[in-house]
Amino acid sequence: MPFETFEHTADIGLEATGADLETLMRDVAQGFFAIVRGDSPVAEKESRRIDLASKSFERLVVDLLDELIYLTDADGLVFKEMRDLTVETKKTDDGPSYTLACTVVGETFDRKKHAGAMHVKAVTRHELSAEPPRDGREGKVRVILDI
Amino acid sequence: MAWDGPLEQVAKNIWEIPQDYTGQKGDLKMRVPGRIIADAALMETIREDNAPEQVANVAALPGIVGHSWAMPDIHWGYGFPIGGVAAMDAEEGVISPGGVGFDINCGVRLIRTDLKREDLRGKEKALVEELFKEVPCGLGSKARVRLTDRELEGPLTEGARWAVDQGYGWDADTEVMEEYGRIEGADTDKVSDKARKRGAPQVGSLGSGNHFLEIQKVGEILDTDIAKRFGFTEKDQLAIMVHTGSRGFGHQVCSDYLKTFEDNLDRHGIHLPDKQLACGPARSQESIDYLGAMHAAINFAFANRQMITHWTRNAFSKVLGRDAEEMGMRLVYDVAHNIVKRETHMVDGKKRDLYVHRKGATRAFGPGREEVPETYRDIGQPTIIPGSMGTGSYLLVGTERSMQTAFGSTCHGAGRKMSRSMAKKTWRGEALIKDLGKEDITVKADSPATAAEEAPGAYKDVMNVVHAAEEAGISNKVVLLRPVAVIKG
Repeated sequence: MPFETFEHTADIGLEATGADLETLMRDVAQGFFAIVRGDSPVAEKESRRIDLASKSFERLVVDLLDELIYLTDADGLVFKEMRDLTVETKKTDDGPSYTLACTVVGETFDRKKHAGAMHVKAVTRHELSAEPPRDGREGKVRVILDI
Repeated sequence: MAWDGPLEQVAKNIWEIPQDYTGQKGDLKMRVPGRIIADAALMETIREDNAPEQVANVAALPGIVGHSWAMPDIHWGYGFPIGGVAAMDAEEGVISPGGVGFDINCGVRLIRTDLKREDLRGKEKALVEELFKEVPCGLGSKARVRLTDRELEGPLTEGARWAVDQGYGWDADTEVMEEYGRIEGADTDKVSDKARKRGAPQVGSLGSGNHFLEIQKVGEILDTDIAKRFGFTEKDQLAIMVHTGSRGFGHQVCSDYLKTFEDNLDRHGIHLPDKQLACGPARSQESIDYLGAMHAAINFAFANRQMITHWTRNAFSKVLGRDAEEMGMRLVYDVAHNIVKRETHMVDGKKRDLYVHRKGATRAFGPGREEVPETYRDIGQPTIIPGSMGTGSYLLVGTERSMQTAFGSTCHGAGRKMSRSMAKKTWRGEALIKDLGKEDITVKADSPATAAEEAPGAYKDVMNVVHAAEEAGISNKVVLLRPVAVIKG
């Protein structure tokens, strides 16, 4: 299971796993897309480019979700897929830093077509854990979203 | 996850988590005791989730004064519990964006009318349709007015006063709002472009989730004299309640500053039991900047609720064919329940300058406080408590005792007890709307799923919450309001 959601009283949790950085980050994004669109179908009509530079893996996860929430709200979009994803790491004195580039595709939110959609307000840090894949071990992200 | 930490009853409906409690991990260092306001039955529900641990975690924040408080509608949040109140010393304490929440100045306002339930008979559906047309609501809702980036300065710096100046409402409206609908100190240079871009198309929109616009009728008057002062004199008198906040603008401000605070924690030597409690000394640059941006979000929300009030009056006028003035559609009050404010309180006999964080808690100042509008100052501040959809809501008044208890605060609503996804599995939106219809309540939701998520059964009973607060002495019941028609975003 690349991602699954879990219960939290007033919010919703997302857990994703992946054997490499790209897979894990794509799973996080796909989990987010699934939470937002619910059971509504989404076509591929609009795309947005995302470029991130983050000082840690945990921050990369937050930055990606923050950016997806921003694009969803500011541009009124629902997403379906993440494409052309690259994630790179660089060693620094404070540990590895990360860059991520991708394109996300979807369409303009339509009240009727996307009746099952859900509004995600923000990414919380409550019980946040983000472990990148390391030494052949799967990476894992667990995050609670404010809805 | 149930909580099995130590709790000791110290007064009627007040329970204390002792300061020597070291938390579930065993390394927590509480600086003050925690205190939860609840009756024994509510306390059982509260123990069922991990919210008391969050009360204890907040008690570990630098500069916290008195107690880390929780209101009777407390439930498990992220970082701070929902229903938490924490006052920090204005010099030695911290500011925490998590202590406000993402929806900055989420709040409630109440409009009274001279109308009776029967005046609306047969017109409920038409009015709800008109309101749905007038007030943009639901997921992705955009306002009817598209502000340019420059025009956005108006609501950000002037709040509800900007809206009234633009023709949305009456001059008298701003006389009966927390902060008179405009807080000083908004610094729009400290607001990111992203927040501006999210906010500009959303000024004057209800949004989704638990936000709503509800037509209500007086179910019971519980304090005749004070009710009269607030504009309520008889059963079945109609009122309108609006519950919304600063929309995407506030969410972005909070998200932006959480990162800034996180990045500076080490520099200040602050160690936290939960990352969502990220904070910084009140006098640090990040706190000053956050307060500037947060004040802009507070004003955004005041302007937002003001515009919705205007369109609500228009919809009533159109459907009932009468002027809003003629129908006596006056604002009773407007309260915030996600906010941090600088206030002066007496602590251990000394006057203290504090930053009071209220996250899912409402200010409920007692008589005499200068922050209470002159017209209500001798009786205390009106406090508006929305219940869950289709149940009941309350108009309360703050008390002198509240000033000595939880820094002049009370509950903010029913308090969720079931997750949204569980609620959707338990109830079907269409059936729920039909059932409420049988109880003479008209519901129009952006989607049936929204209605199911907000099913009354997913919440604690607001009556128990409000009763527990009254028994603890922090607020008194004035009017019980029952729903007539509900618009869910």
